[in-house]
Amino acid sequence: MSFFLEVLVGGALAGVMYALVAIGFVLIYRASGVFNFAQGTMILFAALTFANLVEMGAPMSLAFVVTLALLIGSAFLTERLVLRPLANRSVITLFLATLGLSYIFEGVAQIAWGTQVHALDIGLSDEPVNLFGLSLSSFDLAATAIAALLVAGLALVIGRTGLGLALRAVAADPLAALSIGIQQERVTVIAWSLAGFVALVAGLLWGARSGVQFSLALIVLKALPVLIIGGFTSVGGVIVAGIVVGAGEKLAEIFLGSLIGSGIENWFAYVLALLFLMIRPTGLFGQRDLARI
Amino acid sequence: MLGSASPTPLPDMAEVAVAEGESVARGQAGSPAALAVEGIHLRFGGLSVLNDVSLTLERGETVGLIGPNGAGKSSLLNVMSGFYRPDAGTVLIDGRTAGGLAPHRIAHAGVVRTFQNLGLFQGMSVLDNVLAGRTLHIRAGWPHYLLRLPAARKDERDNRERAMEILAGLGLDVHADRRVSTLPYGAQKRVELARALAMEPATLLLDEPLAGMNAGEKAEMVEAIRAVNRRDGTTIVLIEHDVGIVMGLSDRLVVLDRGRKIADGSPTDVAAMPEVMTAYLGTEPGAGGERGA
Repeated sequence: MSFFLEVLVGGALAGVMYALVAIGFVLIYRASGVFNFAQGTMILFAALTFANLVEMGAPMSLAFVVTLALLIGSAFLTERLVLRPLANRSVITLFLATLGLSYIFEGVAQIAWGTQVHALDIGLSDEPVNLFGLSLSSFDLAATAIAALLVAGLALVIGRTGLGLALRAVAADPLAALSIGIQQERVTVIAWSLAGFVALVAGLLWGARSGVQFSLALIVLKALPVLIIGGFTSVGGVIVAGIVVGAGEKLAEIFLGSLIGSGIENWFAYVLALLFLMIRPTGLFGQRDLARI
Repeated sequence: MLGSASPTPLPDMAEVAVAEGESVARGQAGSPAALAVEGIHLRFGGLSVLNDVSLTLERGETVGLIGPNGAGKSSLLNVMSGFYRPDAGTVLIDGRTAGGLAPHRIAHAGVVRTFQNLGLFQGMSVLDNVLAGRTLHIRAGWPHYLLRLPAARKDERDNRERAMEILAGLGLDVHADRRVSTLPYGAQKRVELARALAMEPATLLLDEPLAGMNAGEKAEMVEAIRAVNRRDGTTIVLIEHDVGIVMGLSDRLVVLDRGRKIADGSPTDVAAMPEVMTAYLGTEPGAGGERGA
């Protein structure tokens, strides 16, 4: 039983890391109504920039601030050069634009920092810790704590300030938002900056865990099923979904692996997402649109 | 939820200086008019939508804007609210030129519009829709909100109270927590009015506020509009097809036909004008070959 619990909790903690990636998507989806394909390369760009700055001798706090400033700057540029000219275009046009954006992030990162793999030490050790009789990873625990702080902060910003209302209003109906004096451009920049901040935190944690390399951008593929299960519009939903996916795939790997062969971890999330698409396409907490016809 | 169908195409919002009006439209009392347009020309490609339209709104009056389909009524409203940029002509708010201002700036200047096909935030509650209209009235800065300082709490309480007051005035307070899309159409129209009122506008531009309503809903809406005008002294422009209602509600009628203003005067005078009959019935004695409306 304790082994089962260990796998369950360990998986859930790892799942928080998926959720961390997925939250960035939710922020942008809510403000711009588009699945931001570039979120993965934003994470890569953030982690690479941070790692190189630290290697060049910058203290971590400075590296963090500089990287964040670059991400906020890119949010401005993205709004100005990509989103504004494409205002009122179809969702698929915007999606393809973010696909292009992801190549720009990747290319700029490569030109600036090269293709070398970097080890990143952000001061979180990875040792087994005994907690309530369960043996857990200290790194996973610290990452979960950081993610929890981040989510609490975002929930405050979105739930407790006018910004949250403005974000939802712009996503729901951009023209109506304009008519009540909400400046769409500013809301967009803020949302993309927040997503950049989340990308930076995710990039540091994922980079510290598995090294800073170009495959980091592929975390998008892990975040996608989490988004489908949690719902594209719900920060809370993707956290629950991340935990479900993390715990589920570890449990399946260990307890079903002997029956149907191993490697379950690689496809488990997608099968779960597929089931959700068939049964509950809006995800756990996503909003369903009611249309009058 | 995302990229909802836009009721009107939004032209490029780059600020372009529109020809400055030499004369400042003045009301009878010598104070500048609440809103004035002078010599507005608007073309879509080869189609002339508005042709030299001038209109001055005195503070506190209710003006009915009528005319056959395609006469340019909604286009004129879109010009007044900044959603369309005219090819020539001036828009003056309180005697100051507002030509080329983006829609959210016009909203800040106190001119607030509603939409012909509902511009509500469908996924949000009735109360949140109205609160979104209060974002202009948030006084405390976001740090106050994040830290839940007294200034933010008072601000939030005041805005919520004001929103509930407005909802109560329109008989909507019992629905405050319902998702707006679950309300009947007539009630949704009232929510849109409530959101506009939450902004405490000096001038309200209502694009077919009674469209799609049954007789009972219409009577309630007419009462609500009249009350706003009397109680708050709000200047009102409304587009409405029901001539009986618009004559009862308006101090003045303005008739558009094929992009030109063909009549402007008291409801009884305007109704008696032969040009108006012609525009509505399409019979033009002695000029049988003209195209109909």
